[in-house]
Parts: sequence; structure tokens; C-alpha cells
Amino acid sequence: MFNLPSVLLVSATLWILGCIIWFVIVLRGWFVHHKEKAHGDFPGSLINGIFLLGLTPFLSAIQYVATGRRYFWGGGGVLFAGLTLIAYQSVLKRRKTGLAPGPNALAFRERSIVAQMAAILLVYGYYGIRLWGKPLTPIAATAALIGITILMILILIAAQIAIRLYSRPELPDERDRIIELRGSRNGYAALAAGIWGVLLLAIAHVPYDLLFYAIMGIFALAELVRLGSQFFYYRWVA
Amino acid sequence: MKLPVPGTRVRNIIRTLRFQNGEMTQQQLADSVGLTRQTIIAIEQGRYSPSLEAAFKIARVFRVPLEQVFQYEEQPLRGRKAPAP
Repeated sequence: MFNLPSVLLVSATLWILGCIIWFVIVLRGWFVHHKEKAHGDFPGSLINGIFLLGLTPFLSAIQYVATGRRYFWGGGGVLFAGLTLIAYQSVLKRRKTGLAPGPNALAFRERSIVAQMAAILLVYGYYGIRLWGKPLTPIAATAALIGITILMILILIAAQIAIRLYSRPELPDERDRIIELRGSRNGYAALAAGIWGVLLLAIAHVPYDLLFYAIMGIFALAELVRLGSQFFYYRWVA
Repeated sequence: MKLPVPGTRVRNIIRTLRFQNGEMTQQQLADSVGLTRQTIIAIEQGRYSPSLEAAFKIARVFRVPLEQVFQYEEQPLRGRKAPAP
């Protein structure tokens, strides 16, 4: 136990302390929230959310130091929990004041698109930073592909659950289907252009790992074009 | 950021009809015709032209003829000739 680096011990202690504080504050928030039903306004979830947002860089920094400057995803879960609590508070306030969502409020499908884009940026960005500049073996490439798939699935499931909790799920109608088709068309164009680029790279005999990054990047970019254009059509065009 | 809305040449008076029909909300109209609230907003703002089927459904909710709800703007688009009447 004492052989562990001191920074790791301090980090673990702070981490546990942070978790306990977080747990107590959330419990207190819920307690006051239930009281508040009879007594008026209480921004419990907002306070908890802001607290967790403040904790995020702290946890990531601890992990970054503790893991020898390798990983910094530790604040991610806390960041997600903080944002969820803040979103919950805004829904609670809207319910209390009886305000209907305005015409500019993000709809269920738009929120889902934003979540997917954020997940792509987060996961591909993380793997891009992690793998860039290192010699890429077939095992590392396979591990990255499996990791990307699993992380994307987990993040998207969590995001969909959170969105469903705070937005009214809607069945797709004719406009949704048209926008989806237009977005897919744009994504296909980006993908096709990217494939041509990769073919040119292959002809130029670029190294294997550069080709791998290029294909991964093009796939992520095509997805971002598809989702981004769908969001654009939803908000400003159709 | 405010972007220019391309819009369509189909105009409508859905907003007026909603208020004349007991201040019907966009959500109520959306539920009764099987569209989403966002689509109703887009139609009212002239950003989206509904399908013929959806247009008939909307007219039927207000119990008025289709051409009373939707009107086609005859003004030709810039650089194009208007179709012969």
C-alpha cells in the first residue's frame, strides 16, 4: 500500500472525498426538492450540477497526473452527470411555471443529433489524440476499432436515456424522413469524396497507419456532415 | 445566428385557423394530423410545404376546404418564367 506513489494515494483520497461530497449534496438536493413541492422554488439540481461541473477538471487533472499523463477521461462521467442535473432543473422550472417549449427549443430529434455529434467528436477525438504519432500495430488498430464501437454504443445509450427523460419522444413524420434522406445524401457525398482521397493516398504508397487514420477520419467526417446537415435542415431550412 | 429562410411559395393561414378554433395549440394540431410539433411550426412559418395527404388532414381538422388553408403564391421566382395559366 505504501509503495504506491504518493500522488496516487492523494488522488484516490480526493476522489473518494469528492464522491462522498457529491453523494451528500445530491441527497440534500433531493430532500429539499421534495420539501420544495410544498414551499416554492429551489434550484437544488442546478447547484448540484454546477458543483459537478466544477469538479470535472479537478478529477481529470488528478487522473492525468496519477496515470503518468496518459488518461484524462475521469471527469467525463461527472461532467455528464452535472449537465444532466442542470437540464433536469430547467425542465423542473418549465413544468412549475407551466411554460411550453418555445419554437426555438430543441426538439427530441435535434437533441438526439447533437448527442450523436458530441459522441463522435468525443470518441474519435480521444482515439485520434491517443493514437496519433505512435506506431500502429494491427492489434492496436483492432483494439481502437472495438473501443470506438463500444464507447459509441455506451455514450449513445446514456444520451438517449437522458434525452428521453427530458424530451417527449416523437414518431418520425414526413418532414423527419425527408431531412434524414437529405442528410444521408450529404454524408454519402462526403464519404465518396473521402474514399477518392484515400485511394489517392494508397496510390501514393503512404504508410499503413496514415491510411488507417485517414479512413477513420473520413468516416467520422462523413457522419458529422450527415448529422450536421440534418441539424441545419431542422433548424433553418425545412 | 439568424440565417435567411429559403421558404416555399405555398402560403397558409393555419395560425389564424388555430386561434379561431378554440386557440388550438400547435401540439394539439400536430397530434390530430400525425405530424410533429416542429413540422407544424415549419409549415406555419412557410419553411416547409406539407405533402398533399398532410395538407388534406390539416384542412379536415379545421373543417374548411384545402384551398382556404393553403394558397399558392403566383409571383414567379427571380430569373424564371411563370408557368402559363
